[in-house]
Amino acid sequence: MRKILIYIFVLFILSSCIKDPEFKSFDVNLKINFDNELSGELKEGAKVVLNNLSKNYSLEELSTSEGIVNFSGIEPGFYSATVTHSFNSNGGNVYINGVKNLNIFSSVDDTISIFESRTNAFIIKEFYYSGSLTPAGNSYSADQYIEIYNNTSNTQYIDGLSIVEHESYGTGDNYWTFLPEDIVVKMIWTFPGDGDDYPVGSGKSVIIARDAIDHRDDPNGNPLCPVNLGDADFEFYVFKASGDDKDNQNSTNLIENLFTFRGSDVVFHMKGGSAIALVSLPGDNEEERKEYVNNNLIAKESTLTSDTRFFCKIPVDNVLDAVEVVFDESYAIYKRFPIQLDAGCTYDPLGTKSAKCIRRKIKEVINGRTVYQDTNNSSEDFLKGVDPKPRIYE
Amino acid sequence: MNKKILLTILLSVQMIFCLASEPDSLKNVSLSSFDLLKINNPWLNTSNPAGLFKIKDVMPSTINLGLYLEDGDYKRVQQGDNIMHYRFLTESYLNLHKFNLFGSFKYDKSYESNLDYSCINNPFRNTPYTMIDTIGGDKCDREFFTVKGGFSVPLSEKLTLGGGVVYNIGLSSQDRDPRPQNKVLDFSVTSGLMYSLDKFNFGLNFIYEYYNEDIDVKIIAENEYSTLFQIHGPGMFNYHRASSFARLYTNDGYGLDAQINYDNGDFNTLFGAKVLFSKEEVHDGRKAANASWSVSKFDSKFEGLDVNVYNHTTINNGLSIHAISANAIIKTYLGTEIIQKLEQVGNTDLEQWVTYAEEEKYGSTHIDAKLIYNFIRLKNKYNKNYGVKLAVNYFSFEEKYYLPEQAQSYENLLASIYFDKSFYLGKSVFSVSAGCKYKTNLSGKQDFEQTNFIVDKLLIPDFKYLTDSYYAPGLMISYEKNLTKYFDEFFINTNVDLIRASNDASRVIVNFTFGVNF
Repeated sequence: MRKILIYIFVLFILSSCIKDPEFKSFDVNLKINFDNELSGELKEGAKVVLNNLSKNYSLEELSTSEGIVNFSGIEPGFYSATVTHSFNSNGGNVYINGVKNLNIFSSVDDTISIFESRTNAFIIKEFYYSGSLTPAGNSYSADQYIEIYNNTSNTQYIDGLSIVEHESYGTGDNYWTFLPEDIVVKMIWTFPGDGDDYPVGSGKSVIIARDAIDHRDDPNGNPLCPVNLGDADFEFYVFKASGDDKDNQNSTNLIENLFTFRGSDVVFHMKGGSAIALVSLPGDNEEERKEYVNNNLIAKESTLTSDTRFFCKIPVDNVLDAVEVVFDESYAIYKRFPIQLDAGCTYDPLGTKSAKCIRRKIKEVINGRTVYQDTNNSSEDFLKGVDPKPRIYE
Repeated sequence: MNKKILLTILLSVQMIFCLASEPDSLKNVSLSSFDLLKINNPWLNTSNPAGLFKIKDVMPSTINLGLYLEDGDYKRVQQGDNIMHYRFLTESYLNLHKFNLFGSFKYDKSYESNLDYSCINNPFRNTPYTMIDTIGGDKCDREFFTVKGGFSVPLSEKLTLGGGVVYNIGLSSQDRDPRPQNKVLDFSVTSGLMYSLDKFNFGLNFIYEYYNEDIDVKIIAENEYSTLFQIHGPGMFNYHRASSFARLYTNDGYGLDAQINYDNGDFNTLFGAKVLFSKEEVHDGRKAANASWSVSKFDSKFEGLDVNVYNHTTINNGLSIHAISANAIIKTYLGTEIIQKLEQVGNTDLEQWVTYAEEEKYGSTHIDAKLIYNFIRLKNKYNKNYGVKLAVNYFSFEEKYYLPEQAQSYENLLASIYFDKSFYLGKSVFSVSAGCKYKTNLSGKQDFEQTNFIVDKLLIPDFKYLTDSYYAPGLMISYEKNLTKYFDEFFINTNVDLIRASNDASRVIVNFTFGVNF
């Protein structure tokens, strides 16, 4: 019995050698930098999401009438704090966005700058980039497309607007942070027309296809493709002597203003990573737009070769709508578009060849006309991994 | 080549001849020799190899082949529906001059089918720092080699020295993208002393263990990416998409095992306490061309303390043996996350993982207490007649992740009873063993502040498995036939266990072995 007691004693002594975890937690106090003239009532209720960038969780709090948000018991790590808010002012909707990266390794008191965002007539309603899988198991990306929607109650003309793609796929820190008032793009494709040639009705959209064919029935297509783009309004057509890119005569070709990495066709990254925007280039006609592009080229040396590549910078003020697409959430830290254009980011969680797309959420339906949500925060505005539905507004 | 074929034929003919011949009497070595050896020599249940010195009588050896099959829907989430092992085992005790020796070699080839949520060789290795993918239906192919060796040699009349080594090496691989290839090395070495003073024996041995698992996840399909999840605790994970990934686990363990033994011939009791400290580190990253791990992300470290207090007592009354074993194992673990960020360091463009903090975030405690009573009635000094075995096992597990709070715990009680009887028919022996296990859950709780698909798909169903009650009738039949030359006997042994859980899920476990003992 004495021996047993000695052993039990030894056991307990040794068991105490491993201590309980000593974990740290911190308080995070954030002040939203609202306009001082804004009333406390309008400052109250702004949603602040504190997202742990390493782990898959986030915490939400609403601001007080002083525009202050307090989080307590926060584990150390790398976070982003995102502010989204909206209110009615002077008869119109005002959208507030703000984002800030925080390294929380002690208690934090910080301020988040915000931007009032504009809503524009044209919005990017749907972006299908993931491509699909063929019956033979190969990847198929010729069915990629972008859908632009008229979100207003009036007919709008899309003539002269341009679709652009950011220079980077967002796999590293943004190289262009020294140009805070511009975005830098590697591709500019412009809608033709003199201002009254291509109307888009209220609550209607246009499809810009990579290849305007019925992908499911065409001999060069893919029977497993989710879309028929044979009636697409516009097409990215890359003219080459080899004629690799097929030209559908029934679809209007966009004008190629810039295509830095000019291949046989326009290809968006199937994994995600193509940050796209709809812009209105400075200039009243095609000549002036081309001149603008030529005068605003900016060089960057290739990291892989000794080549120098030329891209074009476009003022943030000329961007009508922007969607920052990333590979997945872990790439959210490599933000490219300024937060006044897109305070968040989005992606297709099902990834490459999923035959799924990202689509804007519906805000409301007014007399049969669908109005899509446009808070300039794609994290909030877009549905992820949904079936492509070109020209279906439901 | 011809010589090998000739030798094989000759050995086969000799084997048949031996089987057909009538031996003179029951041999000292039988299937039960290995059980009796450990019951009569409690030192063999310790990790002290000096205890080999206490083997005074039969030194059995075996060469056998085995087939192990497990099938059914009562299983853990990260376990395959079907598991099949093909085994070759040779094991031998031997006296050579002053040395008592032990050696074994095992080859194990196994296939685990329909495996989900696992990229590591053994997802049940107590560490929370596992890695999974969500592409299910994998088939895992494993091939392992295990070599064990031990010796004891008396240095003087009272002092005995012992040494032992276990070397287990193997490869497991999965057949579907993302397909991990896991190279596993599990090594332990121990050296010990035994001091004898009249009827008392005192032992002490030091232990060093090393575990290494080198995982290389590949995606063979071109331009494909998979999402890989690095688990940090219940429902807590990092994830990223990649076309390849590599992870390295290294675990160093060191400790000691102390024993005290009283043996007057009829009454033999041994108390012992084993303490083992372990520290495991997990590194992630893509390997360089030279397979160097020098530039990789330090994911986590995992420290453990394993305390095992045990007693083995044998009361030997000639042809009757009462054996009682009791042990309590307490394992406590502390998990630390390393918070790092990839940054450019210095004037060059080289990127390195910069450590911002080390945070203790995870703790777990495992308690495993067993009490086993074994009554054996012998036919003669070396052969069993009949026996009964009763066992009670209490198991509790508690783990907690701090911030956000994620916790789960449960307690189970497992009881079993088995009877066995040997029938001696001429020079052959038929043995039958039958019994039943019953598991009941005493308590269980899951409390997750954050829920996600890992909680829904993995933790909740797995917890249901762990806390389900079941009963499991089992039957073992063996046949032994004495041989006259080379070997003492040929045997065939079959075990069948049928587990039926309270949720109507079931699993069948079949173990078939045949070979020779000598």
